Amino acid sequence: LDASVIEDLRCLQRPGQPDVYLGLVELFLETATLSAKAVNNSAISRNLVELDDAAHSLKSSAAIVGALRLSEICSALEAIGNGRSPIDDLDSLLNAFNDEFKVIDRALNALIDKA
Amino acid sequence: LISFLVDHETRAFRPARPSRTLENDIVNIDQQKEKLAAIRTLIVDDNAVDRRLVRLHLEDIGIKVIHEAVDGGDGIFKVENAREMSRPFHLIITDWKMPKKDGLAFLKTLRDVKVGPRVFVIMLTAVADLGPVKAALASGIDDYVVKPLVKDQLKLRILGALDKISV
Repeated sequence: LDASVIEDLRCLQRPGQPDVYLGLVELFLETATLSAKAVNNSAISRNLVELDDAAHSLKSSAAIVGALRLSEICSALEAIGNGRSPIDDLDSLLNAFNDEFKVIDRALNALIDKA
Repeated sequence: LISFLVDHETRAFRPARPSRTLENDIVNIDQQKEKLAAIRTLIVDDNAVDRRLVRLHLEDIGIKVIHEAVDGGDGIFKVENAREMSRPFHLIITDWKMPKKDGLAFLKTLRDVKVGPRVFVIMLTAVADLGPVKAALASGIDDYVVKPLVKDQLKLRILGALDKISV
């Protein structure tokens, strides 16, 4: 998790209000598992249109919570989905995606548990 | 690519002036507090995390009336509903890439329907999607901001456009 992203969000924090970053993390976790499933299903079935949509959505929200590597992998998957990159690397990218998603999911859930 | 802004007169891209900061605009925020509080805003984005982040940025400069739509179709529904209630939106911040009705289709419909005073539209787009910005300009966006939102980017654009936002 990129510390500078989290630090930037802190400037939006208002006294007495719920933690801005944790609020975004909770929202991310609510939808990320479904989005990750959509990425996997579309990649395995080679449905590039759905891969484009699923990876695009997760790319943006991952970047917001500071999961920049996950966001970069999603960006690469999105590029395959919309035809900007060749499909050859799809399987290795999907493996990298699943590994990184597990790391991020664990780290963010740990933050929520700690709070 | 991030350092390019839209020139509203020539509809061309030009290098951004990098000197503007939110600190310079603090006076602007104070002077415009009442206007900012009166601006009725609609966020159109299919991603709940993105919508929350945009909302946080808007609230940070004192915008208080913020509605949300989950895609372009929902956006048009809410625009029309607001118009019927005689409470039209003054500012719309819309994502570009959305399922069902995307940002471009939303804009085309938006500019076709009479929504009261001309609404100011800011489009959010990923760097890789800057190509469609040209199409969006032709469809009537007033400005765009590259995602993910970095620091004060969106807030500065809104503050810089306050004189063009009719309340």
